[in-house]
Amino acid sequence: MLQLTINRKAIREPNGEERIILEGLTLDIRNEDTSIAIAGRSGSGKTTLLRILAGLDTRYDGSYVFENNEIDLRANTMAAHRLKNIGIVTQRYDLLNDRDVLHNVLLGAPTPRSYKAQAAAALEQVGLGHYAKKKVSQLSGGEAQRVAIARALVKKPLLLLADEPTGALDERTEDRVLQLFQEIEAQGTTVIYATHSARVMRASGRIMHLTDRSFVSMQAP
Amino acid sequence: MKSLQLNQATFDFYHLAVASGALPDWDAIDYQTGIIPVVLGHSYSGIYEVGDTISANFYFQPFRLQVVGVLEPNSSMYYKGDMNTFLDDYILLPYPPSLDPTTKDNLFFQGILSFAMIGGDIAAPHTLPSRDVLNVLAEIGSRTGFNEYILLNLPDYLVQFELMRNMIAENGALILALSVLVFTIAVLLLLAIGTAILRRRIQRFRILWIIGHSEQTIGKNHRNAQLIELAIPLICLIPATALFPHWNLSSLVGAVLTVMIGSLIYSAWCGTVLHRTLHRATD
Repeated sequence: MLQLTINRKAIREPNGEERIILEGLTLDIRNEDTSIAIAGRSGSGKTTLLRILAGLDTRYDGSYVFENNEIDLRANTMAAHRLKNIGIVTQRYDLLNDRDVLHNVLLGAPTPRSYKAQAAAALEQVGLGHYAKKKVSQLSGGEAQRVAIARALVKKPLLLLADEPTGALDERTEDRVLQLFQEIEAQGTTVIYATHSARVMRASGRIMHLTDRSFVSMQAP
Repeated sequence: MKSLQLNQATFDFYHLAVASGALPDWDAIDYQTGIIPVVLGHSYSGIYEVGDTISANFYFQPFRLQVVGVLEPNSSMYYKGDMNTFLDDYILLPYPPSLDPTTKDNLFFQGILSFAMIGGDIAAPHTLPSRDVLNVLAEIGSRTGFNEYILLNLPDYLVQFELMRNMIAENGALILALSVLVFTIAVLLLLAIGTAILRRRIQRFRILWIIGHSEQTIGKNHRNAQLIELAIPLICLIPATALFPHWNLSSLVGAVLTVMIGSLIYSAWCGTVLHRTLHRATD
């Protein structure tokens, strides 16, 4: 499905120094992959890798091939690819708190007006069908996250990227969210997590370990 | 006898010259002596000689008019709308350089003389543009304290324009300071409002960008929202211009242009902030 090669990726530290990460990384995400957990300690480049996979970070030396088509590493080209193929659940959820749930879910659709049925279906899938008209500001953290997942699912993406999806959740809610992700995987969407959580790693099809500078290994959980 | 009372400036301006005798010694003119030196028109040549004295009542007061000179033939000047009033039949009485002190005895005469000396024609070379004439008047006005005056037979707008120009010239520093202050406040206000609106909206655009909407689509979304925001003050402003004093098409065009230029600046600024924010979301 996706072959990513990173020869060199530099990031700038808060103190102004440049640091090389993800050097020599080759990532092959196959169609049969249900989920991959990207693990590694803080600063190893998990979120950066997720952003690169999403096309939000295009400043690296390498190539990005999706469904056998190499995609130009330009911000707008990547945005079009992202809109069509990739769903994203960010760490902060990035929802509009003063808008209702349905409005937020529809933001994830390429053309919101024609995706109302899909939005309702996505909300049903995450168990929030009855919350469509509720303001996001009135939701709990777990509910807000499920809205973010519904928003990512509304266009039925091939790839779903989730950054620390259970980082702010209690154990019980974490279980429900993981179960939801497994349902999504079962529907044919490949989910990639950037995570610290051992439970998320255990629930993943493969685990990718990152060190401070580069990718080390890919293994089954 | 027809007579005209003139001051030295008039003599000089019309280049009045004598064929015989001399022009009055302006500094020596003193009505209190009861003798006024006069210049006669050329028609009186042969009737009166230089040095002759004529008894006359001038503003109801007896004087002796002493002939000091006779004008050249066909001497003329502007008088009461006639560009060439020939002075051959006139007797010219020079005004004193200044008014004498007024006493109870001469109050009536001095009153008439005062009004006569104040009243008069303002003459300017016909080659001088009317705008420059107004400048000269404004300069005389500011020098003498006669700041408020009405000019008959001149278009109102010309006088108003000139008065405004003079006011700006006199209060240039104040007007500049006020303009800078108002402009600065307006710009700061606009930026503050713009920042508040944009900050609220930018989160939506950031989300749209993360999801994958193109910068063009987001920009279009932003422009549509701005169009509504900017159309509202414009729609309010157009009828409000009717309340302007001296409403005319120019004031309407000026108001619309001001809003449009402001809108363009605001729009460009918002576009820059938007672009920067989206690319920061990408970094």
